[in-house]
Amino acid sequence: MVEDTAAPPKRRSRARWLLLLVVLALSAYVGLSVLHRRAQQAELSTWTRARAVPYVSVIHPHIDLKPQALSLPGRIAAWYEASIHAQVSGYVASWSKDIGAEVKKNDVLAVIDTPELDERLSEAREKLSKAKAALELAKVTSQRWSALRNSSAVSKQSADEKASDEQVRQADLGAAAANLDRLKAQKAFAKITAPFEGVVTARNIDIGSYVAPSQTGEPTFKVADIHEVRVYVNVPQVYSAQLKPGMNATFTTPQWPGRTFSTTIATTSNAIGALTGSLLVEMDTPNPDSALLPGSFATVHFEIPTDPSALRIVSSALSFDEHGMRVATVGPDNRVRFKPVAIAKDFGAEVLVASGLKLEDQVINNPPETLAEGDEVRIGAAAAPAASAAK
Amino acid sequence: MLALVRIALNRPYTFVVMAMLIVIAGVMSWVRTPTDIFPAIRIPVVAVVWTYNGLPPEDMSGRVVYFYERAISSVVNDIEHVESQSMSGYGVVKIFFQPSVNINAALAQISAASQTVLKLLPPGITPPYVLSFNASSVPVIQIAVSSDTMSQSQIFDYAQNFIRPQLATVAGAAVPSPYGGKVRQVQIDADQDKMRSYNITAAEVVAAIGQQDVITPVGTQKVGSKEYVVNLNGSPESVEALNDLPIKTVNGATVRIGDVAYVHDSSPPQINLVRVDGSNAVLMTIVKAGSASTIDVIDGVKTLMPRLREIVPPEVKLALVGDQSAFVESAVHSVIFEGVLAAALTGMMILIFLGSWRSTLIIIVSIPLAILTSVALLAATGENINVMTLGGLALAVGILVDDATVTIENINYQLEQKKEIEVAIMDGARQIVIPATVSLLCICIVFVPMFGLGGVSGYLFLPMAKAVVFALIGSYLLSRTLVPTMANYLLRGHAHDPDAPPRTIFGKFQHGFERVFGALRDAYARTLTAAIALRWRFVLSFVGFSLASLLLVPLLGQNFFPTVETAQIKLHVRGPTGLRIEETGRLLSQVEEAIRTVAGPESVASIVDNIGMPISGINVAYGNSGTIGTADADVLITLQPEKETESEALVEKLREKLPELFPSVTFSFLPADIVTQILNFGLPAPIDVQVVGSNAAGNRILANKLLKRIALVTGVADARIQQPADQPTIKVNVDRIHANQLAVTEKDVATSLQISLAGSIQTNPVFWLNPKNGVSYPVVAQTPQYWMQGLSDLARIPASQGNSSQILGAVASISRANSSAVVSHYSVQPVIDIYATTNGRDLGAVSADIRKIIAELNAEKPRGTLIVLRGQTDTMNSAYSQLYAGLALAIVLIYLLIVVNFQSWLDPFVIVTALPAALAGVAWMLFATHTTLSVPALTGAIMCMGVATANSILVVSFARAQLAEGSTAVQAALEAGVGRFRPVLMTALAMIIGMAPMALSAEQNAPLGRAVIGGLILATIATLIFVPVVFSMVHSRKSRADDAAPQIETEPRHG
Repeated sequence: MVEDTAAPPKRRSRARWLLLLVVLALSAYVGLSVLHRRAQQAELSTWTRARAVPYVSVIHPHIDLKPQALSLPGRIAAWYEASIHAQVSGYVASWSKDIGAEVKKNDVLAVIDTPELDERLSEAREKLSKAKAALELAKVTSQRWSALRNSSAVSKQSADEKASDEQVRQADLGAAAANLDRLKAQKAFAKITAPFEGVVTARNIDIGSYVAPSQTGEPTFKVADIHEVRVYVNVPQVYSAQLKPGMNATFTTPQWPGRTFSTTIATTSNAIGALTGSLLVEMDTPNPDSALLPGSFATVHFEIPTDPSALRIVSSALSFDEHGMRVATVGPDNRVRFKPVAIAKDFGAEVLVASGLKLEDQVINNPPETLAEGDEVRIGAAAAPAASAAK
Repeated sequence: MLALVRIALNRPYTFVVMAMLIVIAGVMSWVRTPTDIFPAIRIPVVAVVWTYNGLPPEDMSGRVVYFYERAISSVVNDIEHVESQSMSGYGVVKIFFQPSVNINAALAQISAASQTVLKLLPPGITPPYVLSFNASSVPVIQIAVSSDTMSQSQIFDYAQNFIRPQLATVAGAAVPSPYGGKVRQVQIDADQDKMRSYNITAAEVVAAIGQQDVITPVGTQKVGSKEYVVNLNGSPESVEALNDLPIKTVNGATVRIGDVAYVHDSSPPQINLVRVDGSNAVLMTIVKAGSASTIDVIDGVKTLMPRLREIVPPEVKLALVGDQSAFVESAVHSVIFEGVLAAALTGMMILIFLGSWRSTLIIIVSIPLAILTSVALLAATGENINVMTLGGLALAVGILVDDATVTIENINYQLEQKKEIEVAIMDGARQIVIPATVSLLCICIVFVPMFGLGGVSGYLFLPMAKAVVFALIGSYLLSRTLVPTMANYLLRGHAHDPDAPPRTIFGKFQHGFERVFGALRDAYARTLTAAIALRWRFVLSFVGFSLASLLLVPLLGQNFFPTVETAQIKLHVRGPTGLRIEETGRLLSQVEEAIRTVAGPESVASIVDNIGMPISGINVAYGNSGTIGTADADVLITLQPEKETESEALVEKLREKLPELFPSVTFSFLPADIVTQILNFGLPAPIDVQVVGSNAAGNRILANKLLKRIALVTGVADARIQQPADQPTIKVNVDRIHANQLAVTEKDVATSLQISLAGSIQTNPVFWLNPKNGVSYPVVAQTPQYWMQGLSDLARIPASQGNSSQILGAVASISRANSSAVVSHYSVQPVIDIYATTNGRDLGAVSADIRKIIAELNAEKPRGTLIVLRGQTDTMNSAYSQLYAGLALAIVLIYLLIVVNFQSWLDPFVIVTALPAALAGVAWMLFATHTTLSVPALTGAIMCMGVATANSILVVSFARAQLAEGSTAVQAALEAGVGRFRPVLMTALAMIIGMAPMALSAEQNAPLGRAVIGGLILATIATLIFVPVVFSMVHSRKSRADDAAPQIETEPRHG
């Protein structure tokens, strides 16, 4: 102990040496400890600094020619669809085709019982006979008067009158015949027939129901031709520029989960509807198995071709801040370089980069937001698990 | 005091009974008082949890939390500060109070304020949860509920609705919602395509449910003699029946809910996933609430386990994880063991010194009595039994010996003068009454500054100070009461005769010891003579040495509390911001695998992952790991018990390895032990640099800069920014004019988006009562997340409400943006936290470096922005400055006390000059044992001051007595030194030996023991040599009147 040094004079020098030794030992101990701690500190400092250089995972932009998809709701319409209205009023006597029946052209769908028309028809027939009879009489009369005129037995006036009367009767006959024909034609409408080959999609009449010619009421039958269907999509104005006739599309319907139908754009309305704010696009699709029913809802996926030179990166590699949209790349010196990029199209998990990126760039995926230009980084594990987030 | 001694002699039964009462009271208090790791930290915190499903953090902050924070800051009293976290769907406001707060009044004010602001908040928001807890409310145990056969939602249902209510009956346990699993909920999977084909909007579906599933009491009807209850089929009997509810009828065709959606018993999209050793589970965390004891809470849970196992089906497995009781118990037991060991060792030492088992018996009886007195008084003042009070008692053992020893020694001395026993006792008592009282007061005074400690350290150290002071007072009283009584019986006729020949082996040993001790005393006398001869040189070199030793202090480093090794490691993993839960889960499996590889397969006992946001805001309020979203996960790694010592090395290895394997993922190691969690006060890291201010962009840049600088500070690890601002965000910008032309309003879009994405629960809450189990489940219309995959799916959702069929893409543009993943406020101002922890370096040095960085960057900060260092560093600094100031105050108070005692300005000065030596000893010991300064170490230093002063007083008062009897100053000093050599050495040795077990342990209080031992070694040397030398100098100078002022008055005071 350092103070244990004072002693009687004879031991003083020894004590002095002891004291010196103790002081030296303590100083040496402290000195060594301090050096040791310094070394530890330096080691720790290196360790800390090494930890401060962040690891990053890098990805490369890639090219993918897979077309972009634009999904929009659409509605399926039949190739042809006719709403058949009654041309005659009357009661339905019988119907022969129900909904879903496949019909050929001119197949009778229903027959309308038309008693009034029938009355008028026989009346017209009567009228025709009457006119015929009248014509016969007028003809005879005219001939007679004509002969009499030759013998100047009658005045020319009278003879002309008789001749004229014959012509009138002739015309009456024509009118009566025409009337009969008209009614006959009308009577033909009592048989409702299919206008073309197709499927009965609606039947709104039953035996005994009264029908009358009308443009506004319910049609008696609907017949649709669905050997092919038309898919109509109201494309919102913003997407309208991307769609051109001839472009491929696929669509799905709720009733056929898992089934995809292919089609192409047939035509567009070339005008934005004021009410809907959208462009009407039509696609024609064969419907051999009649799976597509008119009136169905469909989700249409347009396949918009991709610019073959545009690069794709996962969207998690993007970083945006006050400098705008950028990606962080790692240069050959392991320093971060930010490159501003323009996004051509955003697919959600991936984006199409219009400009600012090269194929060989090492892009940092999930760049930490604290990353700044010129920061030193280390490239960590290649298959960063977080990168799989961008499926 | 002498009257007491007289009573002890005349009415001996009095104090025997008193001793018995002390035993009864002490043991009862011991048994009844709850045991815990720490004293109750009664800093009240109230958390207010706002919930609004799907509200983004920035809106939560702006539209809910700010309103509320402003309201409470104007109506609630005694707020210390308010901080808040706004996350997606949750807003958690934590109100920290002054310790003086009337918490009940504050709670009432807080609840009232939340009702007041409710009207100003977004429509449909419900009043918040208000939770009251304090700093020591940390998770103490967790129950992992798992099953091989049941679905996650069934397990959750059992945990939430059956286990949780049972657990709530455990006193002092707060049980937040379970973590993980799936919440049971009736989901209406709205099919966008089908709805479009029927031209039905999601809002109509929700409305249909609301109209068809009604809870309306229809009343009763009196028919005949009875009153009938009229029962309406208001709610369908089964979930499946909900599918048949009609939405509307068009042209005679009725569209039912089942036509456009699928109603089923399911769960909302998962945001929280818990895995115990790789298999899915539900985790129930039990938080200690209020002043309940950790051990009691855990015991309560454990006793409930058999009952819980009965409640759930046999295939549901319950396992306890993260049990803190072992830690608490081992800490408490080791302190008790240290105390007992200390008492035993001191007892042996006294036996050797006194050479009389009778004297030793008296002392050994009085020690436990003093401790039991202290325990009883502690219990009476509402303290629990904890590491701090037990540490205080262990600390006291050494001093306790002192009082009794001095009394016995004196009685023996008087007996050796051939006095009668009663006379000897009275004389002995009379002689030491003043010095004993003064030394008691000295030691009590050094603890006075402890009573002024504020904050966490105050709550921690006040009980310790109380324990010591109570024990000392008890011991002081016992030495005046029980000790004379026992001496009267035990020492009667057993006057110790040093000249008598030894009879037993022990007697021979003792005899030999006396010889050695005599030689030592002779050597000491020679040394002291020499020192007095060389007084100037000696004093100067001693003072020089002491002062030089203090130069070691800066090398020691500063920590708030020493770290303890635990077998648990808590790792917080944060994936790239916005990572979805499935991906975070996948990431975590890989992280887990990496951890097992790095640690070695046999080291890891279990790994528990808690991935993503808890399903309830209450959990967010209780949580202290900084989880803000689905990209976050907590990993609790439990090592095999025998690998406990490797945990630090493993953490370092993981810090090197994990970032390389998982780039862009942030890893941070959180305190797993209950101690650090309490000290961190709800923060996930000890260092918290806050950038406070409303300049969001500027502050972000500043924070990034700060982070980079801080990460480079030697000894910093896990530096990170808590509030990421790069939450991937999809911006839907509705062109309102265009939309208006198409008859679409912003509200239509909002409603449609909400139902498609967030679900209808927030704005249209509908419940369905399950008649089978009586639980009402929410009915939520929502598009299943797996149907909404790309941006095109978003663009395709219907935007209009009427017959027009506009899609979102037709009226809105969709772009990318960033937003805040969490918005934090501190005192109603936005704040960015940079968290960091230390690794291999002390907190003091690291914070000093960080402070420098802050000072440098202060020049660059935007106007109005503030950079503040908070967290444990802050608490530590305030504790240190309070302790340093307390130390200085203690020295002044001691000085004044001795002035009163000696009626002199000079003698107290002599005593105080010995104090720097004590500090030097502390410094040396800490330096040699590589112990950093810490609050326990400082407490030890303070303790040393007290004991050193008490010893010096003994020496000086003896010297003064000699001086008064006519000796010269030198003679008086010499005689005092030699005369007091034995008691001083005994006291010091008793303390040193008593502290040795604590100093050698690896527990929290080891630095305290080390500081006391180091300090006492040098302080004893100072007391025995330095003080007599200075005394001789001062008094010989005094005797030579009108001399120049002594040079040693340049003696510095360390404060």
